[in-house]
Amino acid sequence: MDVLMLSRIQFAVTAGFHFLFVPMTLGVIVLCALMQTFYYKTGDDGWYRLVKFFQKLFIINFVVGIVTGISLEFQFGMNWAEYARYVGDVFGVPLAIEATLAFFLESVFFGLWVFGENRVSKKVHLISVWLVAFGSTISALWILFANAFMQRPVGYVINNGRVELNNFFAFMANPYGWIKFFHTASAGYLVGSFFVIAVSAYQIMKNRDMLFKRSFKLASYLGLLSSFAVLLFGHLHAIDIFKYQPTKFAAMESVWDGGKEMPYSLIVIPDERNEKNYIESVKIPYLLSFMSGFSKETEIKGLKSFDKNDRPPVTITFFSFKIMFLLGMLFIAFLVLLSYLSYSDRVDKYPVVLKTSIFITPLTYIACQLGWMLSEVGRQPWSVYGLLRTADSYSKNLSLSSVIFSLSAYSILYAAIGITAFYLIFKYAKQDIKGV
Amino acid sequence: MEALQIIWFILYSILWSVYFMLDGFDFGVGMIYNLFASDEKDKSTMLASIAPFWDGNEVWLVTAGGAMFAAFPTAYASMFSWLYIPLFLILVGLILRGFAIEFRNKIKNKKLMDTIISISSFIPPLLFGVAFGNFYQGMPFDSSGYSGGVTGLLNLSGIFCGIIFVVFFIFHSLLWLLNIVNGEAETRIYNFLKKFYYPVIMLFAFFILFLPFKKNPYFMPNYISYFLMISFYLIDFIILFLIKRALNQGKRLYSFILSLAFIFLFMAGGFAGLFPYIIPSNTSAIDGITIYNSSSNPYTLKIMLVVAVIFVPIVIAYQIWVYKKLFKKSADGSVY
Repeated sequence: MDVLMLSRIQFAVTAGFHFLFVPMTLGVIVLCALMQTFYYKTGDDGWYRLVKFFQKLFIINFVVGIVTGISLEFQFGMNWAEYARYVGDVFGVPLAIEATLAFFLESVFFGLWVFGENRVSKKVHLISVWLVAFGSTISALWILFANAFMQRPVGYVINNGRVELNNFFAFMANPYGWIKFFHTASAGYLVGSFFVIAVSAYQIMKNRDMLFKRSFKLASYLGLLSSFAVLLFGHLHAIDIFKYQPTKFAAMESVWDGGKEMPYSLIVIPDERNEKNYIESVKIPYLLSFMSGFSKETEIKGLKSFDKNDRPPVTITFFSFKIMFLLGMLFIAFLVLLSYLSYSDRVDKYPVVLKTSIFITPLTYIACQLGWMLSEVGRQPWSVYGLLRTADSYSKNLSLSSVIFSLSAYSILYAAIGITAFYLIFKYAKQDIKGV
Repeated sequence: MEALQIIWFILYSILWSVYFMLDGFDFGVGMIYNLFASDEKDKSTMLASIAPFWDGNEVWLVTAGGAMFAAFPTAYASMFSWLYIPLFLILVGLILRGFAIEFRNKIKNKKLMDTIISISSFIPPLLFGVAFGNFYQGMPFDSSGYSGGVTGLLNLSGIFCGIIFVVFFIFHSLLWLLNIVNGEAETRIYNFLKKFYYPVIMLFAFFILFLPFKKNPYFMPNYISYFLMISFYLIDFIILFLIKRALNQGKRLYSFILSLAFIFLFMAGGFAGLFPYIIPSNTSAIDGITIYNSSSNPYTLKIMLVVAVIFVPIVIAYQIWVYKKLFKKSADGSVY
């Protein structure tokens, strides 16, 4: 273990932990905003009680998301100084804009939404929840554009051995960023929807208050829409990866020998050491070529055509992608069922479905983590794809002991915060709404 | 180019100064609420007074960090990696603090939460002070990097500034709390403030007389920078007297607003004195990190300037508006 490896682990741990809480907030705040809008329009007190109920759960996640977010921004300078020197000129821009445009909006109006109910009119209070929702989603936009630059750098020139921004509009037109944003934001909405579905399912099963059928229905619909968006943009995203990150693409499909007219194998187990797959069967002819470029003539580059030093870890990249994909399909199928049952107002008649929905919810969290593993492990060995290697990015001045100290302390701290937060989430999710 | 770098140095200074001006008082409340509260109701009222604001205040830190990353990437990389351990401890403090303030009411063990809030509110200002104390006097580094280590930060200037930050923020928060609490706690705070005022003045006088700033002998002294620094500090001294007068006249909200200006100018004076350095070197002047050798290219600075000029005023406007809406002297802790 050296400073580089420990810094990588530290970033993975802190970013992964942060992203256990963030996706849920993206979706739940939209659902809260919708429910509060229905309350505002109809005056129906039921919607108001639902907002209050889910607001508490939102707050827990939002706060953990905020406090764990700051350490990510600082880590670029602390552990990745060479990276920061190399790309700061470009990479700092979306981070600064994110803070100015998005973080202020969500934090300030979060305060007003949670504490200001009796200090402002109903209309202003409603606007404040929408501003929190808007702020959260556009913060995702900016951070994903920062990430997109690491994956597919655009809008820059290299000057004096570092990258310099020379076209902000090209930077913002990066299709990689837009597609990844839609994919990730809709994944967040999906997680938030499942969160609300699971809590509502529990409450319906306990026969507490049939009010939760409303939130169940609303979340099923938003979840269904989002799950289709996740799939659509996921597919477009894969095409971008094919175009701009051939090594990641070859690893996520575990293609060792490329070529044209590539089939799609349904069952694959990669054998990284021997540069082949243990198993590769149930092939659908031409499908991989066709999916990547809409033509069976599309040529796919195999991993063997790249130098060993330029390949990402194949097994992790491959399995994160495949498991995420299968989970995504499961979510779609299940949400179709939930939406149908909600539409025909029969969901409370099927306790098995309710129970299953609770157990599927953690899988949406896992799918998000897998998505980031695919994205960031698959980017290796680069920190900026094709420009700067991860091995050249870390802070050279750090001593091993400092990073061991920070990584251990982060692990203990985050374990404590994680346990407390999830304990509270479960506690408040199970609470009787009459007590709210 | 030079003009852009100077403008960005001004913006950088403003972002950090506003950050300390705002987060300063909620750090202070976190440090002292246990000492001044008579009962659970007082504690809850005091914490409730910062609950809606602390995270909006902290966004100024995120913005200052982000702006520094974008405008002075080399300075950002050096500063943050050299100060690894103190910055890490600051982050731990900020994480624990936000978590504990928000969850105190949801967790049974209030004593534990009170301890966490006090300690985690104390560590960041102390270490920020230590860091700025080191910037003010210059750090030992040359072209091969920083050679002082963690213990090298704990020099006289660093420790003194650490103490000053803590004391000033406590002072700042007492003026805030006077606008918040009632009854016994209010009297206690008021009486304490009357005495606490003198160490604040003495520390500040000491700071002005002995600390700033050994300008680098290799560079021509920068008279405008000196002039601004000294003016900011002198005005700040006058503000301290105005705070005293406002308190005597019972204008408490006014005294807190003056205190905002006090913290802001205290920070701004430091930045003015540092100009054109972000971190001066006290071993190899030529390697000092200045705004000229650490900035992004003019294009980035221009793009960022457009964003800042449009959106920072909007942010300030709605943040003030929300402060006004949520600020209220509360008779009980029910807001929380």
